[in-house]
Amino acid sequence: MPFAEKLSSEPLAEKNSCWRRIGVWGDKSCPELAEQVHCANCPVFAEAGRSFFDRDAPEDYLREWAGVLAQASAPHEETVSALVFRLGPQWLALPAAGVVSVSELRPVHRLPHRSGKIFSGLVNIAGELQLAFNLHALLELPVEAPLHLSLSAQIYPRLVLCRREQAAFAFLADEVYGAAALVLAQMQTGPSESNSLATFSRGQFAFKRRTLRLLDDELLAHALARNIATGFYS
Amino acid sequence: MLAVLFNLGAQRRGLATAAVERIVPALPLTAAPGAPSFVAGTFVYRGQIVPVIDLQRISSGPPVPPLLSTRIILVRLPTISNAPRLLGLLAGGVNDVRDISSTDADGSAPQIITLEELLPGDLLQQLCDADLFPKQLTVAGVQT
Repeated sequence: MPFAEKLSSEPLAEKNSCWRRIGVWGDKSCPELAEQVHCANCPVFAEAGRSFFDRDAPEDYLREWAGVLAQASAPHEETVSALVFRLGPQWLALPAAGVVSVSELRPVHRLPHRSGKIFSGLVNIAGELQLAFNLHALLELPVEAPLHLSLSAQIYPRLVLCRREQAAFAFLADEVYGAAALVLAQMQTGPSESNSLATFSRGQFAFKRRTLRLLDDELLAHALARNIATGFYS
Repeated sequence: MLAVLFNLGAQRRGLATAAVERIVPALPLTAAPGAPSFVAGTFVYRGQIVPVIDLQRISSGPPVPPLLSTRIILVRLPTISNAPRLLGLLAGGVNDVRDISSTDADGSAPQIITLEELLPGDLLQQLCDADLFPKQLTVAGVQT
């Protein structure tokens, strides 16, 4: 390939190295410098840089690329991004799209004749009053939990605020792990139970050697809204 | 319009990026015996055999020099079926992607060229046709 040899043997950058003569690495007399400020911004410099590709490709480089491109792309795994938290002994997850904030505990103000087992009262989160619910009661989970279930060294209870369409609800989580990408293909249906935890969960995952249940946020928001509308005393 | 620039003969041309799937280096190609002379060969892209056309040879020019700036532009062919058909265009000087407005055709800016203009006669139509798509190339690629 005489053409290729000619190009690759020639020191390309020397062909028109105006940046060394009149540019910023030379006497800075180039009239273009007034506009371009630095040779790195100049199209002449960019063109000279591209000319480095006008040389022979290393044999290994092309063979490596041929192997990379021949491989079929990895099958795309559909995941759901979820906030992972613990209520009592049970690890749970809520789709992260509906989670607004995770904050420190704040006092929940009971509403006389309104607060009940599931609806706790009002809580001030970032200056806005939000409805606080007791998810432990809704999902029939105990508050106490054995210590070995925890994922963090220091356990901090947190206040989680979720929003679904117009309705927002806050609840207290005994521990928040953070966000995780759950692979939907790995979701198991779990044992068929008739308790409320099974009612509100879409399925379960193995998560860091613990069982994690993905909550159905739509059903949950609906149940909480219905609780407000009808049974304040329940 | 954003276009991939390449050399066509002595001229600089741009191909609209909308149809471009990917740009890959000029890989060692498997020869396709029996194919027209402008077919440079085939290579395997994600398990799919893709024919590569030498854009210089199509206009009866010399073959493209095997430089680093010589690359294969993988284009998606407009097909009726859902399965995307890929075609490789081997071209020299594929080293820039530029926004070229169709209005400034003052000669200095590279001109936009379409796939229909690049491929002679009814070749594009043949390539797009599901039945006529180079079966012989596929077979040749597997055999060799």
